[in-house]
Amino acid sequence: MQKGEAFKIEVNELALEVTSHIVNSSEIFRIVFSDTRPPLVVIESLTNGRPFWTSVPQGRQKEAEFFGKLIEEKLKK
Amino acid sequence: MCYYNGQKVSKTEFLKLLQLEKALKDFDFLNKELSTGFDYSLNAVVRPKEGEIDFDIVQMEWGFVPAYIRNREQLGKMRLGYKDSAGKFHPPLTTLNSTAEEMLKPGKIYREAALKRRCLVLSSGFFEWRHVNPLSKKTGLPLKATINYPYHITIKEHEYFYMAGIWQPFIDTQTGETVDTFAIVTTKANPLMEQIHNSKKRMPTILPDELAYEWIFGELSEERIQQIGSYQYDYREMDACTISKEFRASLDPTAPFAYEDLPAFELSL
Repeated sequence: MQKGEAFKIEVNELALEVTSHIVNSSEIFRIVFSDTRPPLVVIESLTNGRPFWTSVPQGRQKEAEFFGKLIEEKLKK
Repeated sequence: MCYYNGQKVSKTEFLKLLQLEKALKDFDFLNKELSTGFDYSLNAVVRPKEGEIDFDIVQMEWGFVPAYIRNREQLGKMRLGYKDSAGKFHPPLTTLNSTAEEMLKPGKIYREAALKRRCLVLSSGFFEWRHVNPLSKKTGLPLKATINYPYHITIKEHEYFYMAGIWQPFIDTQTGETVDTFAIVTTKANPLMEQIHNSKKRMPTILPDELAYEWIFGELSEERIQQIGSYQYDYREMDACTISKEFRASLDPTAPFAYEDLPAFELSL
């Protein structure tokens, strides 16, 4: 189930189109990139009670942390 | 603690992330409201990958097929009952549920699966009938006629939850068809389910995340299998709501439906 409108984030030369969805009671963010890389799904999860961004499925942790932070900043504004 | 993407996370968080992974892949397949059991339909089941702390969400047929059944013809006879050549009727054998307290006993059809093939059945809620004998207006005593009221039972603040299951592969030796089948493990009813399923006083074994993890990934002793299989979910974490008696044919089978004549639970919940 999509939640709200899609929003855009621009960083350097890269544009991100982000949509938020509720799946299994969890909020996930799907990012579509303006370059050739495949879309990325990220979620804010917990490690030792502290939040961190991770990719679903596993395997793109660095991107998840980087783009997750950008989403977080955008949502705070 | 486990690792997801190299990050240390709790077992609960790990299961949530893995389940999310599978749901994103096959979300339509999980998005199913009603399973009645007696249509022996396919259901979403979490099955561990051999030798890994990972699982697949697969479809399995609800209705455990014992190892001695060789083909669909025999299976049909088992499920529906049949008359043998001497005219003797053999009643149906229902294998939708396996009783936690019994399943490990020697010679039981579920024993091998309980020891080696445990799984989790994903559920968003389940249905059960409450049987009520109304009181006579003349005498005030319960009448013989029973009225049945269906309930939809859910877990508070859980879109999905896990029921303990055991599974068994079935190969039809005539056609070569292969299908995995499962039974839901049941336990003694908790105080809420005693009032709803008041004929048999049983309920599915619903597992919190920590026990669900142990059920599929743990190397368990027989004693521990029985302990987890008999786990009784806290009734205070459960919700039960009456639904229409025609819920099986309804587009929204879980829609609440109030019955004016339905007595309140005899509970001090």
